[in-house]
Amino acid sequence: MIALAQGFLPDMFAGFLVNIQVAAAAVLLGMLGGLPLALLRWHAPRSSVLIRPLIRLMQAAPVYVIMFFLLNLLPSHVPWFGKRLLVTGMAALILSQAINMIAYMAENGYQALEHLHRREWAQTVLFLPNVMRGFIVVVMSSGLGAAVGVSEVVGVTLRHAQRHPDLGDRVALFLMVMAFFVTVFSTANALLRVAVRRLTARPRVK
Amino acid sequence: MNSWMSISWRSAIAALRRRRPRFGWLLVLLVLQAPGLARAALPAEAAQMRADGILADARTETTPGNCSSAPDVLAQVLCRGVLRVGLRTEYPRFSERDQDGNFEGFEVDLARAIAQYLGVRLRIVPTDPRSRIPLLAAGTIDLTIATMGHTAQRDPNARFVRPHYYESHTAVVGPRDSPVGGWADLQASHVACLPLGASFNILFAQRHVRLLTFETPIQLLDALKFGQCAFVAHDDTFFARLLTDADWSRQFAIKFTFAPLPWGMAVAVDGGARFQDLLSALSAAWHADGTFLALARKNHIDTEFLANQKALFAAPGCIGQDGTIAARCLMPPVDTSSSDKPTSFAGAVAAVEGWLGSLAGGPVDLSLLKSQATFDLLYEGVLYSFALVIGSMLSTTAFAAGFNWLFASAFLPLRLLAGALTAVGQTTPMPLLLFFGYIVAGGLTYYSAPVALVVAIVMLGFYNGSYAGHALHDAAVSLHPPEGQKPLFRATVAVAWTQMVAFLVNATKGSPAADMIGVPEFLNVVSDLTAHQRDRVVLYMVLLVFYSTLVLTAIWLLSVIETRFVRRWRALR
Repeated sequence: MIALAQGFLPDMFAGFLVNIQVAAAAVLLGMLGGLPLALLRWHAPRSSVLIRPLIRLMQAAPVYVIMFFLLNLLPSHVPWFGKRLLVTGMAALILSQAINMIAYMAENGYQALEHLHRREWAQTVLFLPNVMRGFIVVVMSSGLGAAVGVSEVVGVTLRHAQRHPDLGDRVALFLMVMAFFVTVFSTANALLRVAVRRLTARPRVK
Repeated sequence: MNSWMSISWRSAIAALRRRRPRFGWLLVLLVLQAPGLARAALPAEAAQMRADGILADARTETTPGNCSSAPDVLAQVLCRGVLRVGLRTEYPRFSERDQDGNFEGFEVDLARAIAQYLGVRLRIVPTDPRSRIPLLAAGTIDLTIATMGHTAQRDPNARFVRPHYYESHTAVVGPRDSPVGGWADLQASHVACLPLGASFNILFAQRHVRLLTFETPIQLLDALKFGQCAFVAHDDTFFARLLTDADWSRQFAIKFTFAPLPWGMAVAVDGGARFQDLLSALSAAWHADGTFLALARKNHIDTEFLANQKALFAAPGCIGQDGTIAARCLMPPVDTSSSDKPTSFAGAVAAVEGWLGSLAGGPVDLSLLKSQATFDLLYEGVLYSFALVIGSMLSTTAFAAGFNWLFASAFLPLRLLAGALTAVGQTTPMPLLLFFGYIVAGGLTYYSAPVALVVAIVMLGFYNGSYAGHALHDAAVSLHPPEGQKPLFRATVAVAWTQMVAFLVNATKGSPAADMIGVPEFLNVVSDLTAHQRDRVVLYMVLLVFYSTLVLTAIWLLSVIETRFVRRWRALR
């Protein structure tokens, strides 16, 4: 078990870092795309006629299908300041996650603006933990990248598992990763709950 | 090579008959060549003479200065004094550029030898699998020598030169320690990296292997190196240099090969007949005299096929005294569609293609619907998708009900079990759960498509059911049942209906991810089949519409259930 972990853990952490990077990029793109939509909807209420169906459409889009759609239809290279950037499975994964995140940020951003307008500071700052929740959701669903060759934690685990012919070793490997995720995300959720409690706590009356 | 020394006695007599006025002079020459009269021409010589004859005839027809009016491709080449050959740019040892940009490799040497024989300059035109035949048809190049397999499907589009100059097999290359050793070892979870548009991709698709396709062969190697795929497949010739690289060979090896494919030079269909004849005769001569073999050795490529061809053509029987080649010595083109019958509605699909093409302003490819083999796979994919969606919705409901029951149990260990299981379900990425199910199922039973379907249904249900189970439990608590009693399940569902709908729709949305563990549902089939198709836009549009419709149908179905049942259940509170 220890030998199994020694060979695997460095790769697992490297893979998890890729999940984090994908989620960070998707959340960033989500903010860049979603917050302008929220502002537009706030400042020009008539635009809701277009923006709300667009958000619903993005929410309903199956991430996995979008990822393959993008992977197969994007050009293999895109120009970038005079250079040719390689479009990989990673780009398709980030963009497909970003579509859901744009809808998520547009909804949450609009909600935050409403609270801000009503001077409900505590509710307004809930936008931040909501961003973190979105981040966690994307970290978890970025495991879909294993299907397009992204070396994130699920893909790494699968490759290691294939090297072990013994079923017990394979199951142990997966249980190790699942324990890691349960620990990390249970902690993250607990911290989020604490953060929400503190952010929404009423100031003490002296 | 074109000397009197190589003239056979038959052709000498023929020359005597044609040139009676110089009979005495020729007779003297023939006497001098007496040893030659005693034997028939060697096969190589006979074929070479035939090529020489065609070339000589073409020269007589060539009028310098007005090349466009030359009768055919060969005459145009001679008139122009330039042979334009389409060659690949990055195919190791066959045709690639060195650091200075100069072309080198077996095919390059072959092009040079042909230009030299014709007595013209060589102009290399970079080409690739996509452009090698269109450039010929457009008259941009005179000849293509570009690692092109001779298939029956390509025959109508170019004149292939036979005998072929090389033969490849498709090699499956993977990590040296990989257990893959043949078709039987391929698993649904394997990711195969394949060249885009390769005719053999369907063989992998039919085995439900996950496919990733790449435009250039170098991308395949990168994908293998960075662990993106379990193996890559390409012509074995492509791996020739890599296999001699000690570092590379330590990590990777050819796991198995299949589908031998003869490679042919090709000329244009229009006006290319005489050039094809000349090159055929020349190829036979160069097989027989070992020219091909020598060029292959110079470039360090595998020589097994060429050695066999040399033995074949150097022996009597394949090349006649007049240089003609016996048909039995020529390899036929490979028919890659031999098992591929058209669908009964292929004509209608072609009509739809035309109609869509006129709307889109460009060609639309729906060939997957025209082939019975691919259509069967697509049909099966749709059925699997329906089964997956219905199954995962039912299993989500079942898991939710199960967790709710456990949470409500009076027995503490059962409540703790429910808490632990839902924590795992809610914090483990769904793809990881799918693969966990795949690993366990693969270890316990023979992993097949139906097994994959069941695994996917269970895991999708567990993942979404762990959230929905919590929602049901919260709803049950909110109903404040009397001490020692449980609220009615239907009333609980009515309270948690919004959350239930969210997770049931989520199960539908997540169902395509089952493709990761090899469930041959619609996405899986389309992405695999389009691996050998260049135009994928329309099919991926269809795919998006299909899944969006599936999600919308699920939402509609749930709204019907709400109207018919859930509203009544709310009164049960």
